[in-house]
Amino acid sequence: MRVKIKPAHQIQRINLLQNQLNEIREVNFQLLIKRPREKSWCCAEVVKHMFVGHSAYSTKIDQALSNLKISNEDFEVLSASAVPSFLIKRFPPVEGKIRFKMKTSKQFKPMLNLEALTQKDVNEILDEMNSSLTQLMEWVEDTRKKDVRSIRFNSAIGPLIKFNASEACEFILCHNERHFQQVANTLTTLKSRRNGL
Amino acid sequence: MLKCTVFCERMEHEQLLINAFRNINLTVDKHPEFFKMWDEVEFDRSEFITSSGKVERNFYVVISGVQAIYILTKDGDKQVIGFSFDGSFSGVYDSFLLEKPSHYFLEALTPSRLLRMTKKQYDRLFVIYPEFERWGRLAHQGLLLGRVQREIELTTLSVRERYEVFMDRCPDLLRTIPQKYLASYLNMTPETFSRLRKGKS
Repeated sequence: MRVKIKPAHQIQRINLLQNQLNEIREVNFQLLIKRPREKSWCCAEVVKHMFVGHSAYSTKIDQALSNLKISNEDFEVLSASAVPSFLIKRFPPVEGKIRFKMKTSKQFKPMLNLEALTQKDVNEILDEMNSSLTQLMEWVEDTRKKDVRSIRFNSAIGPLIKFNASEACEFILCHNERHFQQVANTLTTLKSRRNGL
Repeated sequence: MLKCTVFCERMEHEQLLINAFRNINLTVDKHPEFFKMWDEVEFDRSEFITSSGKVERNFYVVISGVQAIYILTKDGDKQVIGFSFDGSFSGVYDSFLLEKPSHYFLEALTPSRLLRMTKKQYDRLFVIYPEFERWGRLAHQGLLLGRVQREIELTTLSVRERYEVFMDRCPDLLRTIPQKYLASYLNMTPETFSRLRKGKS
């Protein structure tokens, strides 16, 4: 089954993530830099990882969209190709559960020195995440007015998988949803531990 | 020339507002602050005025254009709840009143010009002009009765009856928007809507 990409739905989901990001800003700084387990990422690392993943597509999506003309047609639904569909479907969490756990390649690791991390650093990480969600929103708005099917580019995973701009946006969004769920799970674990549950 | 345009626009806004709030007698002399509260905004066709997940910050009166308010199903399909058009009020009212993220999208289906005021200005209206309590009561009554009527029609009328009742009272402006929005509003498929429009059973 191919994934149906619907820009209005994407916008609703990005708004939801922006609201969740605002809630993360209210969380105590110490909780954001505390790892739930020795080998698991803390919330700040998860957010940084999302930003790194997003940045890998910035130039590619910008270029693809700037090379397309605005159409009179409305693009309310786009059917993703077979291979991107396969990849996209594995990412979003289902009923709060993260499926198909995978190992992160080195280039996408957050590489933060937790011991030196200050409140200001964490705020900057949250700010850049907010900017990336805003940029994602702008891309999705653009895909509503342009026929993106003619331009494909290599995914960040490599040339085996190629995306058009809509597929790349959906991939980034699903990736973000997966990791926002991870942040929520991490905070639940840390808070329950603090409360002695 | 510029002076004339500004003057004409102001007159257009005043007339529109007097008409929209016709259940109270508004005059520029008695309600000067009210008329200064509004500013005009424009939206392109397909532009979102408010999107689901964002807080609706404004209350609108439509100068021109058609807008649809809809919610997305779990699969991301649009389910139209209502329309606004020339002379009517617009906005995502529950989000506006509660200052909570909207469940709905408000989209300009045609190029649209609207007058808007903020929540702070809206609240102030009721403080400085007691007659707005009357407007509020009548406006909310109208909204409630409209929703009840729609509920009755959706639950008791056949597809054909829903189509006929709607087309009888449908303003001409709404006939210009894509059929899929009207079909969704009437809770039928675009194909059924099209068949009924062509007069086939």
